[in-house]
Amino acid sequence: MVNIFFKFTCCSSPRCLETLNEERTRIANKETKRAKPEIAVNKKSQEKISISATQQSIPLDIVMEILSWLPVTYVLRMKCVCKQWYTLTQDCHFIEKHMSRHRIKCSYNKIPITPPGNSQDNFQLICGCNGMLLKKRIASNKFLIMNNATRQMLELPDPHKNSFEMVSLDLESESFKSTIMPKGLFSNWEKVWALDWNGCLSFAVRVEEVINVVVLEDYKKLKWGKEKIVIPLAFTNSTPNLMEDLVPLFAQNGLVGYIYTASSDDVPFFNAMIMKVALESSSAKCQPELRFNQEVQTTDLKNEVNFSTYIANVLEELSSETTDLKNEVNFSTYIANVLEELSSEVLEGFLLIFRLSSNDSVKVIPEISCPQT
Amino acid sequence: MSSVKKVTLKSSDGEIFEVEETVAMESQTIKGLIEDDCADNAIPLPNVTGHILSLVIQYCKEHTSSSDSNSSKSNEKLKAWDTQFINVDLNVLFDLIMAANYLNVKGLLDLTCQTVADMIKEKTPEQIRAMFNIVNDFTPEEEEEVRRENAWAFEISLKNNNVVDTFEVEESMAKELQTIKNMIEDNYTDSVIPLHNVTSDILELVIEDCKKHVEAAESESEPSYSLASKLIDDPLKA
Repeated sequence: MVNIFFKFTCCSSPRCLETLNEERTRIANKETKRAKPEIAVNKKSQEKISISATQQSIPLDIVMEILSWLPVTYVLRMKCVCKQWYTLTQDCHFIEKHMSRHRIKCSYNKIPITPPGNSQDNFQLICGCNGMLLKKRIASNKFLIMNNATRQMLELPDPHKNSFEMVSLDLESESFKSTIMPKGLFSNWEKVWALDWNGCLSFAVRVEEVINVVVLEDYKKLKWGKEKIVIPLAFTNSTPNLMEDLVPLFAQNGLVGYIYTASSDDVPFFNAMIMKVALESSSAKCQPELRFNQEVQTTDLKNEVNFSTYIANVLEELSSETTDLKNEVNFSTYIANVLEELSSEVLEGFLLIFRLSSNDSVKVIPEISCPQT
Repeated sequence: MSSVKKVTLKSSDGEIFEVEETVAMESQTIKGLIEDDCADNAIPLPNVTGHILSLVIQYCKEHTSSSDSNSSKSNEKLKAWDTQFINVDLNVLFDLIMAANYLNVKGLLDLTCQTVADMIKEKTPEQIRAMFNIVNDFTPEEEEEVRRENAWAFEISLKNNNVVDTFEVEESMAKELQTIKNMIEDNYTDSVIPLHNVTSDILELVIEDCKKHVEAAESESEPSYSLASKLIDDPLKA
């Protein structure tokens, strides 16, 4: 009997999915048996239920279609019907299809923070990705990845001591991967942020008036870019004291977006910036050109949904003014989505956690993936 | 005025259907054949019988005309039509699913699959096996193990009026109570059902009683439900 407790049902990326069309031709070639319908009376129940028992054998692909409409709890109940259905509910194609029907959105008040049977442990919810949550045991420095829908849990292994090791859970292969970080890159890891650099993971840190970015160019081989990309922040001269909490959000096709929080007169506000950078070569310095710099006041810092709509609107306006900005129109929707997702703690892409055992500082960084254009 | 283009479809049992091209194109499979110029003669559909094909054509007709700008069919009316249309024998339903899949009529496939999905929500694994003609290849121990692993998925929580005690009960048991059954069937999204009028003592007793009734039903004896159900429902109706 398969012990499923440690088998992790994941939401895999579209890359592992074969097209539905291929499945259809397979079914079309099967012959369905014709039979007379039977009316079976269920003797165990008081009511006379006329269940027509079919004599056909329903192909698995059809079963998959049917089950994909069920909410997760019902899918889990279907596991005890037969072994084939048991395996089907864990198949990555099925999960993909199921996810496409039910858009997963987590919000804090609906998540049961303590899984059953572990009510003694205290967990701190850190972030979420693709329907999975990252939690940290408050007492110890252990991280748990939990699939909230199926209540399966996995503990993240520790990186080796005294090494610059990064441990990640690869959602596609459902395995842990570890890579050694390039040494001597950043002096202060506390201020490092993960950044989506044209679809690759990168780390960015602001060092005085520049932002240094190092890109993981090849995920399969876990190969990091040889040199740093340096992005000068020319505009900091005008607003030096507002740059403290700069958070880079995304980088795609030469546009880099940031938000930073600040407060004036005790009223917190967001500032959003989109910079256009021209990259001559990966190691060259880029000349940024400020595109958008707006201040948004908000009394509730968690109210990013309104913020994202705001940015979306501004970008739409900007794009209508100049033909130059045409390719940024997609961006407005993208930014809106990214920020909205940040507020609901569900992000696409792979979840990345890294710890430095050398000084016990821990940082958890959500990864944002670029939409396929 | 050019005449409406028609295509001829031939079912597995030799029935011939002449349909308008636009209607036939609801099927992506047929659409492909038409576009590849393979539809000059009758298109043979060896996987679909005449009876089922006529139903599929009915569906396509209804859904093509609704996308017509001249048609006054509203979404609600179409949904009502769909509900009526899908009210068929289970075998016919499965045949429709197969046909919709083979002919690639997305709307019909979604409609039929959703219908079956709604049907199996209510059913026990045994009933589902009967429906799908599946042999249970689990041993009793294995089946018990699988159930236990996902026990929480079978449960719904009932909270008493003080929101202090939560009772995890098997959904099949909770359904004995008509009120709760209605709530479940109305797709109560939270898995916690609050019962404001019932204290935890009463709730405990009621749950015990339900358990006995479910166990009695499973052991193939025939308890008299009428009086018992009355007793169960009464405290909730208070």
